[in-house]
Amino acid sequence: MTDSPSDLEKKIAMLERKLEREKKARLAAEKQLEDFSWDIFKANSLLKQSLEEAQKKTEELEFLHDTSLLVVNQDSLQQLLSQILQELVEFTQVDVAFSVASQNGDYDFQEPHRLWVKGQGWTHQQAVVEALKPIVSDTADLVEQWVVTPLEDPTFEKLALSACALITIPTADDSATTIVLAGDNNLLQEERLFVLDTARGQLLTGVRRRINDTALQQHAADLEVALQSLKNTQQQLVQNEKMASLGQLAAGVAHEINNPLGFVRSNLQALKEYVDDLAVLESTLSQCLSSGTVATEVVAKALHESDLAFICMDAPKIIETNLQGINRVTEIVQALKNFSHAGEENFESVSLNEVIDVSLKVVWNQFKYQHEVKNQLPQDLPFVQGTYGQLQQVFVNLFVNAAQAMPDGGELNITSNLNDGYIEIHVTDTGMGFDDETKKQIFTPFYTTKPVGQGTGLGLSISFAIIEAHGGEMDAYSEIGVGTTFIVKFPYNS
Amino acid sequence: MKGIIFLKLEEFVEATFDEYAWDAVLTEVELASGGAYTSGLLYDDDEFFTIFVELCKQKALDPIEAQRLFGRWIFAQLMAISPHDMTGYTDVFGFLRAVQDVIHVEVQKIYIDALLPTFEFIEETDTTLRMRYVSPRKLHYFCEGLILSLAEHLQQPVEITLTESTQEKDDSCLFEIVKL
Repeated sequence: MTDSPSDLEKKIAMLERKLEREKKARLAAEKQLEDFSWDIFKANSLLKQSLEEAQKKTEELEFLHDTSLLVVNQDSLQQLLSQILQELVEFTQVDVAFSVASQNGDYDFQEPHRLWVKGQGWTHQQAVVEALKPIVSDTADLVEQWVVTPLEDPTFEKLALSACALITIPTADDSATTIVLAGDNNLLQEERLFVLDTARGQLLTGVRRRINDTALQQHAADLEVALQSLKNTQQQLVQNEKMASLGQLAAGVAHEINNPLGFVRSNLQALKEYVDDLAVLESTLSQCLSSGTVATEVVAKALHESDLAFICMDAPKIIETNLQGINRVTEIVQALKNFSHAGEENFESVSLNEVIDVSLKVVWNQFKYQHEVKNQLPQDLPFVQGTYGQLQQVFVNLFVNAAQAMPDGGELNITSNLNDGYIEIHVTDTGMGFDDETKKQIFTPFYTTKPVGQGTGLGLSISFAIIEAHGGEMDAYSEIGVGTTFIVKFPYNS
Repeated sequence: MKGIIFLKLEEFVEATFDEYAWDAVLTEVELASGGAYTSGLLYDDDEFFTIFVELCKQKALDPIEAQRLFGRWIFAQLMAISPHDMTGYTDVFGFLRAVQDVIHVEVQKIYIDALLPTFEFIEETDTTLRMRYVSPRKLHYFCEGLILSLAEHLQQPVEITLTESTQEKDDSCLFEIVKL
């Protein structure tokens, strides 16, 4: 079927309009395409820029990470500063870098001074250092902050340096280290300075920590010296107190020794008389032998006159008594020797029975006339780890105190008690006793209730320290007018 | 509204009627774009409704039925240009969920400025799905047409009941889809 001319005209008009719309739509599509291309270009540029920034940020982060690692490690202050300088050089890519120490504002520039030069590493270029010296000096007062200066002097133009950043870090009360970086204007970029400023915070923390560490070490060393000196003094005090006790004991001990010496002397006197009698007998018997006749009456008379039978009976007793007397003196001297022995002895296995027996011998004189001493310790008390001399000092001290608490006589009881890995020795007197106020202070050094000249006030405090050093404890219970019990408690291995 | 929808409407009118029908509508109305549409560009929603109303007027169509028809027609077209392969879906309800969760997401990636409707799923059993269709354009019957074509495509016949919201400023419409 063929369209009529009017239909054709209508169709052409319709198609023309359609074409017009299509053209317009195509133009819009092309425009959109252009816009897209432009957008993509812009997005790409932004992406590139972001990538560069991200890389830069990565470098900055790496730098900050590295510096923070340096700050927390255990290197010395000088090592820290030199490693930080190296990190700064690598991060900032500066042309020139160096550090210089100063004391009271005087800079210690070496000749030649070591510096970092880009492309050359660590080297010497005195001209560069000389040119930067005045800038370093000008910042003497500005510590702990980055000082950034443009380098405008013609000298720097020749050296191709246009900016300088430096920071002074105090390393002690009167000394500091200045780090100097110089290069092109990139050094002055705001972001870079921001990163440097963050690193500055870390660096200062690290430096302060190291300064504090050094101070702490010094304090620790001082304390160590003080402690040693204290120990020496304490040891000296123990010895002094021992000697003082010894002085107080001396009179009693002298008496103790005098006594056996007295009977040894009188025994020897008797023996001497026996020997004279024996000499007369020997002379009479010799005469009988030389005359050739032995008259029974003469011999009987001589034997009677010399009292030989009595001598034979008595002499061995006298000798035995003398030997006992001499042994007694020897024991006392030995006990005193142990007691006065100074110094830090090593712990050994010590018999408490023996220590207490010997201590009683040392102070025997203080008790024997008006007192009754009841040593009720079983003979198989366990051994303890300790120092014989020191333990003896403790018990001598307790016994002397007990004797002094009972001036008019009384009873001293020594008993023991085994309990839970501990052995307790109870030293009880029936003396005057003391009140709670006194009890609070009895272990305090230089506290004494005795008249001037009689007590050092150190005896119990030192005894307390000795027992403590033996891993033991010491305590006292007292009632006025009834008596006092001191309890010494030691650990022992069953 | 994206230019693609205008172009598809043009195709629909030309396919349903003829080239004159589209030309006649455009000649009759005043449009900012002059009726020249490019698929990727955005045009004022009003242009769509102006054209649609004029079309109904010229062709004496019931607007609701016209929307439904256009929806039914455009389903195959949209399937062909879907940014996500929808051939794996065999269930109407599953497909609708994928439209909301996958297709709309993908379309939004390509056209950041596209304004898409939202499906709010309220209740689902094996046979019934209740969902709210939310769009300021209020093209509920267009959506119904799409779902009817989808059911046909999946050979899973459904019956759809629409309940428009009676509240003012509420652009939503409740869909109850029951499998037959």
